[in-house]
Amino acid sequence: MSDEASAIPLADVLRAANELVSVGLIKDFALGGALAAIYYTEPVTTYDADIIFVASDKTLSAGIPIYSYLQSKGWRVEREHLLIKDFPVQFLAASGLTEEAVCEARQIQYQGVPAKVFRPEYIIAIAASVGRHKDLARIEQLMSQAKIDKPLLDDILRRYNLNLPKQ
Amino acid sequence: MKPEFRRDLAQLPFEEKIRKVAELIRLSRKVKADRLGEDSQNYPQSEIRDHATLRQTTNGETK
Repeated sequence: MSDEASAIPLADVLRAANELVSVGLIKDFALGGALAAIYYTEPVTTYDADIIFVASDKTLSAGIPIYSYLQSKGWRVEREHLLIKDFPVQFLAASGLTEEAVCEARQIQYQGVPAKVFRPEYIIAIAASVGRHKDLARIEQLMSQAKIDKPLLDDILRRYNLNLPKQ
Repeated sequence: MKPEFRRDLAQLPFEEKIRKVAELIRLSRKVKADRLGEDSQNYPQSEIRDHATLRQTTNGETK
């Protein structure tokens, strides 16, 4: 990729996710993971985009039709990722906390493409539930750089029986 | 990096931050590639040959 701005084709990713909603393969989606955190914090290195979706039909394995549909649109598959313009994207089915995070996600426009991005309180709660080193770093960054709705965060943590790591 | 500077970066528009992430990815790939290049230059060819011979001998392919 020669053009700097095109190195992360996020608008294309979000456009494709909207298309999946239009054709009825998914009900809703939001940007999650590191790119969602970066919406609220300083930029950090990340090598993929996470799209968390609510499946239209939860009785089916939602991932397979998504992969087939996007492959027919020119996306490549590489292990658990789908690649658009060589940029890896993971489509992850939402459930429980992540489904609530999709439903409550913030509406945004990215280069004119409508999308949703997880709220920081949900990114923190999800990171607390996963607990890897990079998740703990993400929590620290969000707590120090983003505007956090503390009562909302406490409510999410209490309902999902989660604790923040000790500082 | 100073916390104030990091907080300033956090205030940038999302599109600008995504461009910076792309720069970070490119830089990290360049550093990795440069390091690999240095390693192969610093490693004497005779040693590489010796290791290859040793490996083959160990595998029983070279008598």
